[in-house]
Amino acid sequence: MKKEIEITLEDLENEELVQIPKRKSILTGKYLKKPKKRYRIAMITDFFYPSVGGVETHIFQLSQCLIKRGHKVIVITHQYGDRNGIRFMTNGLKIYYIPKLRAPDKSSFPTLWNNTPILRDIFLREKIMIVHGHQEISVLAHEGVLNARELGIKAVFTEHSLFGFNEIHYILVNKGLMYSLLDGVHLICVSNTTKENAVLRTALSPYLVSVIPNATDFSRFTPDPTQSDPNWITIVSITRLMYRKGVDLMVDLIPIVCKAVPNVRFIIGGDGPKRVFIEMMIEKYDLQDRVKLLGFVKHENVPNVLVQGNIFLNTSLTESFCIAILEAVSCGLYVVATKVGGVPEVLPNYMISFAKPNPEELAQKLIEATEKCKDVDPYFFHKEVREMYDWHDIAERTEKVYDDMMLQPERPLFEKLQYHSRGGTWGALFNKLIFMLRLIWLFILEVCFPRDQIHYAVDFPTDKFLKMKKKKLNN
Amino acid sequence: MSLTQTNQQKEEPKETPQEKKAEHKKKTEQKKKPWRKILYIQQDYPDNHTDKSFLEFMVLNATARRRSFGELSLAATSITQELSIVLLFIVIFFHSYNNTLPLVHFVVINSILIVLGYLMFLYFEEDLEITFDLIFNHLKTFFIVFTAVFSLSSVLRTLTKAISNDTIWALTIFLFCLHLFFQDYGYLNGFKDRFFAPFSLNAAIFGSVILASRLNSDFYVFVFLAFSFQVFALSPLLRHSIKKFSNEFQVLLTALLFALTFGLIVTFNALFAILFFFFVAFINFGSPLSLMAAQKWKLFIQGPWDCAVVETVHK
Repeated sequence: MKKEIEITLEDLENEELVQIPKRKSILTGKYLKKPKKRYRIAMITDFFYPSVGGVETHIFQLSQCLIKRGHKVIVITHQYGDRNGIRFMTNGLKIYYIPKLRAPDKSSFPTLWNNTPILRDIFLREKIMIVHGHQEISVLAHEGVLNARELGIKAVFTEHSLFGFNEIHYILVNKGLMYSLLDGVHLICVSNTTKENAVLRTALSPYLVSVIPNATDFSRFTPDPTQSDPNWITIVSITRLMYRKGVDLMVDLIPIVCKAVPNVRFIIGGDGPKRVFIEMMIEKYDLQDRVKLLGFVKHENVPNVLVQGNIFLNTSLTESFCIAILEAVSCGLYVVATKVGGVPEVLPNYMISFAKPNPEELAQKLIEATEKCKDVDPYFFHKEVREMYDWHDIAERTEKVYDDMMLQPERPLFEKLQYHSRGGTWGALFNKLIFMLRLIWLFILEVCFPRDQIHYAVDFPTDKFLKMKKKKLNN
Repeated sequence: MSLTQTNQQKEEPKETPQEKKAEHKKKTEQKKKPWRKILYIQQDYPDNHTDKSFLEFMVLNATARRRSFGELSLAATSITQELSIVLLFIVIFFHSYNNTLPLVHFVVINSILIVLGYLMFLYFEEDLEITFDLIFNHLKTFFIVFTAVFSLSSVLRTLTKAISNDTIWALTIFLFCLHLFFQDYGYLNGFKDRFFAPFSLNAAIFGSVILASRLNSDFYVFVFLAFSFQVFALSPLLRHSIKKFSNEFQVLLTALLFALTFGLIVTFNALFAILFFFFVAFINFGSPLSLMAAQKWKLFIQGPWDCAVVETVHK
């Protein structure tokens, strides 16, 4: 039985390694407590398998954990090429690939009426209780949440990124999110900075916004000290090489660091429009043997690249949570990152050091880090970070949000209409008009395709399947 | 005896569950730790807890500043001046076209204005070393341009012979509207130091050339084009130095120009003069008022969620 150590704020400010009390759920292993009630959840988003990314992994892992807790989860996303219809993934996760016109950058085109019939059909035949939309720029998520609220189904939205306020595309996107969240939709943000940003953008009450962080699959990212070369101090950075990821900072700081510390070398993975500037910098300062460009690194190979390093460098200019640094710490690397967005909230002082986004300060912190990283125990880091972020914990906290949602009463239609009073005189009228038209459309659909004539879908026998799996593993 | 008794008392275990609970509570009762803005430990607060430090690093309207009516009105006077000058120019043209312009008076007044304007420019302009070289260069440019215009005036008179009057009037209106839109008001208000509005200057010269081509004699064309050069190319420099020198002179100049233009337009068409009056009132006094009314909606939000700005961007 682990003792809980009394920690004061002053202790935590120190650089020394201090044992921080972790989540009770992870320590005591009681996170597999049976949930109060079994829900039928629909995750709806544009971003899902076969496209690969942070949001996709998040949805998949969250769905798997919720299935293991006994809930029924389906995923609704748009078709990818030939991939349309219904597919099944691990543990009976049902995925609906609905026909929808794709827009550039993986999202889809917004519509008002087109997707209501099919979404209504899916929600009714699967007897969905909660619709969970992901990612702000996913149009399908907005449509799903709006349709769900009109049908009287509870809705939750997860926000993964930070947005500005000044430019026209930000203004439009913010208004879109504000409209989707009008009718008592709970918002989940991945960090406290994202919560502040979301509350300002959508003018929501902050008590309707929960902060539930992300996690990653730590079993794939294990330390391997044999892979790193002991003669060099290796600084790894795996990122898309574009402006937002701070490649300009990297180009300026690499010569400074290489000059100051003779046995430091850089490994840069990833590709993008700014790659040519790094190559130009290597040419100019003659650092061919000190800087290695790997090009695009496949998702499976990322752990192999990370374990070769001692320090991880993240120069992003804006980041809401940054899973990359979790992966790096899981592989036993010390992290140096720019102090932007939600990054200061993610890791404790002894694992990460921050710098302002200018190359001189970053170079200074990197040089200091070359001393600190010698004292780092990679296995300790891995164990620590594993206890900080866990998918089962996230699923339990999300479930608590679902519990709170289900306790909310469903308001009558006239009250719902008053939610649309935002946006000034004319905006409010327009919103109400659109709302009424959509309800008329739903009524027409109800007349043409009545609810009692919809065949309910057969549930995947998850309990039996999981039991069978367990039996097979034990044998 | 008493020692052993107390020892025994200490070792005696608590019997009832209530007593056990009370003692456990006493041991573990501690003040609720303050909420910290971190994600890596479990805190004793619900997920939707909103601390009093919520939005503490938000900065509102850091760069915005409230402008006063006087400041805005003064800046709008340059637009009024430009508008008055353009309309004055057009009125002069119409008088020339109808042969009601007393040519000799016009030439004399123009010459006096040029000399006077140049002297004022030399006086008002700051950071100007008045050497013979400078004045010589100015006069050289002046003579080159005027000679060129003089020599080309006969050519320019027959430039648009094949084009009808209506086309010319429509084109002129369009061009002078462009001139007004794209004029460098920042320079005219003294905010910038370099006159850079090639598009507006080109539009004005183009407009004046096609207007001049409607006139009857070569000398008329020359005088008119010299006047347009003086108004559109030289007067911005003077107006800039006046504005920079003194605000009172700027207001005085605007009032004079407005009065002159108004008086000349009234001779033509009273309705147009009234429209001109109201339009100038709107631009010079109405627009500043509406901007001041809109200022309260200004909301420029900055905070830790902003995308960081890099000083040296590689391109």
